[in-house]
Amino acid sequence: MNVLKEFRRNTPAMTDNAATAAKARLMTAIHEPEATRRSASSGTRRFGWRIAVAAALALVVGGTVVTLRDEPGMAPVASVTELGERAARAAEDDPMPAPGPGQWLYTKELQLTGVEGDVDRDQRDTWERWTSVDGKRSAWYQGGKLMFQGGAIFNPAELAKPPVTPPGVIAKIKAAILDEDRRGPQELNGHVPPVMLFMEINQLISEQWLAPEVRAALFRALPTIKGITVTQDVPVADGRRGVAFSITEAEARSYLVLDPQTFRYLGTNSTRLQDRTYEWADGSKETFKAGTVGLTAQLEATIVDQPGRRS
Amino acid sequence: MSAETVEIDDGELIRRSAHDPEQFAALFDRYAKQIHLYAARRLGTQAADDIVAETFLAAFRRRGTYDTSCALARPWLYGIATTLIARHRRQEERLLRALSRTGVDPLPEALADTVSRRVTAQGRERELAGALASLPRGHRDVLLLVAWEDMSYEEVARALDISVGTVRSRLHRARKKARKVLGDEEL
Repeated sequence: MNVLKEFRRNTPAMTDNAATAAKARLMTAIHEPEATRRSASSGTRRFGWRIAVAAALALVVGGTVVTLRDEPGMAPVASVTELGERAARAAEDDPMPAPGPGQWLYTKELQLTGVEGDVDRDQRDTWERWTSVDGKRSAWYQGGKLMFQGGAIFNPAELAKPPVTPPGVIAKIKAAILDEDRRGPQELNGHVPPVMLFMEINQLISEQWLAPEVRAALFRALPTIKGITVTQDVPVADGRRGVAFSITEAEARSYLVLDPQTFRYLGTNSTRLQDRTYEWADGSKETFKAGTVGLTAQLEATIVDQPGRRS
Repeated sequence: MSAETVEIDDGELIRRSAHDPEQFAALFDRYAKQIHLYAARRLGTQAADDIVAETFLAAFRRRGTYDTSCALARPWLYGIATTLIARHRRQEERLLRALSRTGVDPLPEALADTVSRRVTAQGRERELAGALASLPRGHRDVLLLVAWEDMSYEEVARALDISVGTVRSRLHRARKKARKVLGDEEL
């Protein structure tokens, strides 16, 4: 068999929904040529709500798992180091047995975007995702079909190779980011910006099953990253509030929010501080305004035997 | 066969669409799915959704420049799609490199009922992904239009607005590079 002809041959066909939407855009252009020109960018919003959210907030968000035991009655954390230490201990005390290599983490998340002080403009969505315990694949439902995707930059098993230390996991994550940059955009010049490191750790903690010692090391590592501080009483998408690791850069302020009692992962919260314009595939532009807020909340996080299953 | 059953060719459809724009919609029905598959194999289904929509919008706006003596609009439409794909060149190469490195394709794929059946890519597929990622974009365009879409050199030349000689030389170089990693595999 010709390996090139077969390459990605099982790529899924265009869905009926996508075909209908694309044809509708063409028919609008046919019937109202001027209207289409003006609304060229609105069609591209379909391109992916998650992409829009990530672009709006400069923060990759996702489902989550930190299964922690209740430890009621503890005083509020006083510093980011203390937050890291408490979250790490809670991760180490996680009573959940380690999943088998073929199992998947199922997460369900509520996502909300809006404009500060203008709740009527909120947009809500729930997002379900399955991520294989080995980190190699993830899956989600699209048009009733389970879709799969590979390509985690980080190998969870690599992160779990002893000795697992906070500087060690940071070094591994930085090395992976720089390696990817060397092969691709070559924009980093050997330097990983703190906010990028924060986003990557945030994504690992929220979307990937990790060995307890790796998760603990990540929590202990967060306070060592330049610019990360602690913020009390930060809301997530479903109204719960928690204590957060936070970082502010020029464009956005981002929070990774934990339950103040149990240090269970609650969700994320981000605020865009500057306008940013993105150019979409059709050359049209879309501007995300300063003051755009994005919140997520973890609703479910369970180990399952197969992608597509919820229990 | 009676005259009524003969389908109007693409050129004639586009010619008629100058006065009756709605005729243009038939082109979408003819080519949208195959162009989508082509774009999705390069960039994934989500990006392909947009590329297909934008391809037909651009084609409709530019239909006045189409040479209606060309019966088949397929190369013209693939040419527009290829220009749109080019805007994602970095992303395409990043995805190919990821496959080459990890053996797991970052592009979504629909699977039948058995997930366990799917194993990571074979060595040759990974090597091919690496080779594709390292090709100049223009060479990759030619190679994939020929290999995946079965286009003739003349059709590729029309699609990409280059000479047939350039198609030949790009294809020759692209195949040479791919053969280097794949051995004597027919390409």
